[in-house]
Amino acid sequence: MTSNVLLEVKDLTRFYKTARKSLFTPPDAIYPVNKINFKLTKLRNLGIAGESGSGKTTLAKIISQIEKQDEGQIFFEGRDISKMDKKGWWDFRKAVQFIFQDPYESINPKKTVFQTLVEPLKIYKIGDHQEQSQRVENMLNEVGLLPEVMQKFSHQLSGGQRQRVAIARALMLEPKLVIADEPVSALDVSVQAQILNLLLELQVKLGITYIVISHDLAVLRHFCDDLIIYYAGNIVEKTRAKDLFSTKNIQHPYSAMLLQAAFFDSLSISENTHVKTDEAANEPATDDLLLQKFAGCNFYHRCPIRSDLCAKSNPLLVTTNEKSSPSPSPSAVACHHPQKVTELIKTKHRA
Amino acid sequence: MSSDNVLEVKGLTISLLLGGSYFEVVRDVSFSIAKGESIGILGESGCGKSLTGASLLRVLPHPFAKVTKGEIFFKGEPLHLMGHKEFNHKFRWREASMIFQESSAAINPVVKIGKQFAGVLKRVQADFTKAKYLLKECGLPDGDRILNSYPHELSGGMKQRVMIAMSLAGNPDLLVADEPTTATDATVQTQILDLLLEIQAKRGMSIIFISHDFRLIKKMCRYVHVMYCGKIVETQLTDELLKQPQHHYTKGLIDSRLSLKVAPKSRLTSIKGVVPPIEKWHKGCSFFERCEFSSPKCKLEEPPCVTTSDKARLACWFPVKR
Repeated sequence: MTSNVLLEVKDLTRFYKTARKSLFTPPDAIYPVNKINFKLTKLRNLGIAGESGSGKTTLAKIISQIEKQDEGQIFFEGRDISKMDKKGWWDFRKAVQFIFQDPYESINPKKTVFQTLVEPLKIYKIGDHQEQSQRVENMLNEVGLLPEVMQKFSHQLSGGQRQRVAIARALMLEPKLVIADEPVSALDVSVQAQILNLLLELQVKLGITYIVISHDLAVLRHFCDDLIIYYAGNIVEKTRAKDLFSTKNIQHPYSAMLLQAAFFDSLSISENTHVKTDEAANEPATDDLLLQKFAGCNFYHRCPIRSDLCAKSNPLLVTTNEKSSPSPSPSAVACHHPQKVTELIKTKHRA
Repeated sequence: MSSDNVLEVKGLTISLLLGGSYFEVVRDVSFSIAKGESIGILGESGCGKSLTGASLLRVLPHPFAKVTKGEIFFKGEPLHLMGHKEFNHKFRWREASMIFQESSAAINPVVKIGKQFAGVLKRVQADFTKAKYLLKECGLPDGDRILNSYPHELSGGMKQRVMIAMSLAGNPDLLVADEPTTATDATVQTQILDLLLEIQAKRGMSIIFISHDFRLIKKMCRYVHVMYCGKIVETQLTDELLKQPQHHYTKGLIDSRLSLKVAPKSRLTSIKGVVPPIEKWHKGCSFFERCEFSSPKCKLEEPPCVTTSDKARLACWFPVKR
């Protein structure tokens, strides 16, 4: 294992038991995270794309250990975090921070901005009172807020300012890894650009690695080096961002669909394979897919290029270009017909 | 004024009650829609675009917001003079209806879809069998099951489809769509937009599409009105606007988009600052503080909304140079 791997995840699984159908049947379980493996390289941002209910947020919560996994291991800087002692645990908590989707809900409304930002320092007993306030002031400056906001409560701030406070809070302890769950989806377009700029600036300055979760490939394209496309608890495609967006190297039909959804003004899925509206409405609910009971490919019901083979066996994640890729996370795809996918997407001709 | 306009709005002004006094949040807004046409209203949150849409169907939050000035004509009839009873009987659902941002908030969570549907159909004196037909039109062929389920049993996309189906109950000529896809997934979003376009083509409806996303507006609308701080600052054909925005606000919005042309990790251009709170809207150009090209004149005098060509309008003293 090379030393520039920051995080490695092995066979990570998390399941939730569902309500019993009757008293005598054992409860079913849904698998929002189903045997996930990946590596994260230092300073290479990882994007996780998928739709709501696919389990991508659960995955992020497990990586940051807000929730515990049922099976599998997480290695942070080469150390298995389940075998850490108390000191190692505290270090891990300090090094991995989380930015939540909705700054309206993730910031305590009863605390002032200063109290919010100083809390992590107090927990970790860093510096005396004076140094703490100095650090808060520096951080506010760093994220582009004026010192006046220190005594304000979160309801007195705008959405963009609140997200800046949330970012500042995550960065107070100088983390190595920041997990951002839909960091800009609750914000206006012009503010979105400001926040993305800020996050990238801070990465250069402070040497942070990001894991960004989003359903919007436009955001991920801008932000990430590596991408994981996530569908119903499974990774369906791992790729380098620039490979995916050159559109010639798309290998999974779901990636093509997401890509078209994000850039529908400039790309289109060719008409004859487009999923019809009637069919789309008959898709099984995501929860049923998470049961992982269907023998075939999870994406079968929505796939424009499905075949009989897809209904019978679930394709495994196969590495595709181990030799040519310099990154420790080579491209991989879980599809029986990856060669057909490229034909799906075409660039719209502009007048 | 041409006679084939479905709706004409003239000088609409809406006031909002804040801390005991009223502030004008929508100021002197005028626009019109021809039959079968769709227009977009674009702007950031807090620009008054949703209130404008809500005022057309009289669903403003009473008494916090009220229309203080302005005339609305629907097919030549003065809508602003219509009494509430008549409005409810003749206009709502039958002539115009609205779909909202969050389907889960717009549908009653403890009443089965069928019962809610029945309520709407009774209002327009239609038969209940129409419900299944409408659901099918909106891409839900499994009508019986849908009507017999509670909202929480449906997915977000399905709820949105149900809401669209309901809005079509009285065969309206005008649909006000207030950010109908903001709360849905990216892949569902395309489906919903396609559905709306399909229905529009079939029924010849007019659609007012309210959104903050240029990508959606481009797909849906021929004309777009850009709103800022309660005023329309620019009106233009969508394609023209994207090619050559003239107001600095519009240009800022277009430039801050993430498109395939922007190099990854490059610095995005963004409009500095945020929409000022209502109390701080001042007399001159409302975009003054965030504009890079502002001059003292912008602060003192409000730029009038000038018609530049056929249907295009612009409110700026120093427009972007061509």
